[in-house]
Amino acid sequence: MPGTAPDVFFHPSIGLFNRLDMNDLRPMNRARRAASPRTPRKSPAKPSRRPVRAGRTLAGMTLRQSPSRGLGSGTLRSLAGLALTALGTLAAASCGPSSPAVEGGGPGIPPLGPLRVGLEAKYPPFESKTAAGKLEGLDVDLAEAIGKHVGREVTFSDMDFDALIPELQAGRLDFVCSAVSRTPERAVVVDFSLPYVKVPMGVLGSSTLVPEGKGVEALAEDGVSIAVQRGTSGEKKAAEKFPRAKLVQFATEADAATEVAAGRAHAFVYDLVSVVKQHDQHAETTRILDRALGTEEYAIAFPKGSALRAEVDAFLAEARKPGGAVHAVFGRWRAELDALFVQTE
Amino acid sequence: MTRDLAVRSAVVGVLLVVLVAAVAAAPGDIRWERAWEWRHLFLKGLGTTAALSAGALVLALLLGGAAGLARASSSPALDQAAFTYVELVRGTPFLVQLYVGYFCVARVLRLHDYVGDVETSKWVVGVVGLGVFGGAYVAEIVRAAVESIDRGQWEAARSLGLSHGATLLRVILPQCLRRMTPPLAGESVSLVKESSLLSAIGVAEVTYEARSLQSAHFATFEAFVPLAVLYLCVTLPLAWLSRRLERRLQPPPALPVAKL
Repeated sequence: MPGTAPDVFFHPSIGLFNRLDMNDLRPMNRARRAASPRTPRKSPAKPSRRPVRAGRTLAGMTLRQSPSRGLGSGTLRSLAGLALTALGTLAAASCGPSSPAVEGGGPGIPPLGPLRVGLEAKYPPFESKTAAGKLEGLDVDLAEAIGKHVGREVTFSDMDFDALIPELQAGRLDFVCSAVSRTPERAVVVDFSLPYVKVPMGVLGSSTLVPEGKGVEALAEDGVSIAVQRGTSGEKKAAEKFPRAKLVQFATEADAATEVAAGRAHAFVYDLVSVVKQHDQHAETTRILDRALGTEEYAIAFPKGSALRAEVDAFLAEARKPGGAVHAVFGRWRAELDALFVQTE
Repeated sequence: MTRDLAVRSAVVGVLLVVLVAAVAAAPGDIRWERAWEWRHLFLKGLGTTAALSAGALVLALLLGGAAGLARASSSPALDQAAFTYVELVRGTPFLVQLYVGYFCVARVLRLHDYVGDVETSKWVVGVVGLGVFGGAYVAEIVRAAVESIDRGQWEAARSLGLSHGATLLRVILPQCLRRMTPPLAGESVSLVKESSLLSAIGVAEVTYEARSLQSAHFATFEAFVPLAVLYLCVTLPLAWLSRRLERRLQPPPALPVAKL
């Protein structure tokens, strides 16, 4: 095929360059290398210089190789870049998790920098985002009350629920205040505060897949699929109560509940708070099958061995008393909590 | 060759040091034997990943081939249709396409009623979504290959009386094949990697399995490090194959051209 040079095909001007990875770049490197008199080992049989007719165009593209690029400089540059990236990662990895979580403080002691609080802001009335993007909810107020008590600013990080505990473990959060249920499995890897509310668990069923008049017993059959939010106590409870059902995990509560509303899963197991809200959203297509599948207690989660926990426990115990700070926090959300069967005592 | 090998080993070494440093600094104990206990789940997920990606690749080649040819065809309507498809797909992230495809389109169409069950409908959305996504990139590869063929080839064929279509199919395309093969192999690597996003709609491919192990056992390292290794086990051989093909399909050296 005279007159064709494969390197042209990969020229950035073609436009698909952004999708090409290192492999696709190789012909260019090789063409340069082949043209180099210093590195003939790759293709000794080939002529050392490919005939390139300058200025000739093929389908609007110039065939001329850019003279400004030195031989192999692209390879070297990308290697240097790789090494830099790797070093950066190394630095981040070595000082990230090993630096101890900033803790301590307390009344009278100068602030130690803000408290880093993690939550998943998709769970009203506990935590959610307003239309303006501001965080609000019981947990937000509670975390701020704790911050005030220990004399430190509070910064919130919003993330997927199943990322919260790994972030605690990695030492990147001081605590998680995000309607986290106290479970024995979680207690192995984190330290929990005293519980601050109790919630029943519920089951949201699909009106089309679960026959009228049937309850949770319909979920004990084969071929039943239950949508859950990954890493939640609802997932755990569903596996425990309906061992024959197939669990399908989603990253968010809304995705899982929508699956039921769409008639693609038989049921959704979660705290009654969620079940009631999701039923309101999808009143036609869903039915509440159970309102008392068990009780969950929400608590604040700390990294193992956190010194902050004792202080927060003392605060919670003290502030629960009438007139205390937590009472004020609950009072603000009383109507919403009552509507969702949350017990605060 | 030895220098190349040394540089590669150095990069791998740096990455390993990073990984080892991260593992050493990780809080809590990492029990790698757990990853071994979960091997069946990992392998099952990897099988799903491979099957999904293979299905998507076939679809992407068909769709992308058709769209790429449409772009090179003499019909402006076909060209514009293919152009629009490519731009729409390349202009949105695959994750967003999946969300729209599964949570909106498949739901409204009640796809699961047509295909039998929900599991199948997820596979359909996954394979079709990944195939349509990959097809746009394949179309660009085809178009670029066609455009890279010397215009003289077109002129010669047309002057011999071949129609535009015949020139494309009989003269240009055969020459394109070897130029397209390496980037197409690269595209298959991309598809394998993009298939990890299907975990968002609950397709039980290997990333989904790893994420559920991670959240169920709070075993971040034991779930994600083997996951990365498993992807490399699939993509590195594909990349190697792509390089092999590229070497093998290298055009013969151009004939010396007499200086005038």
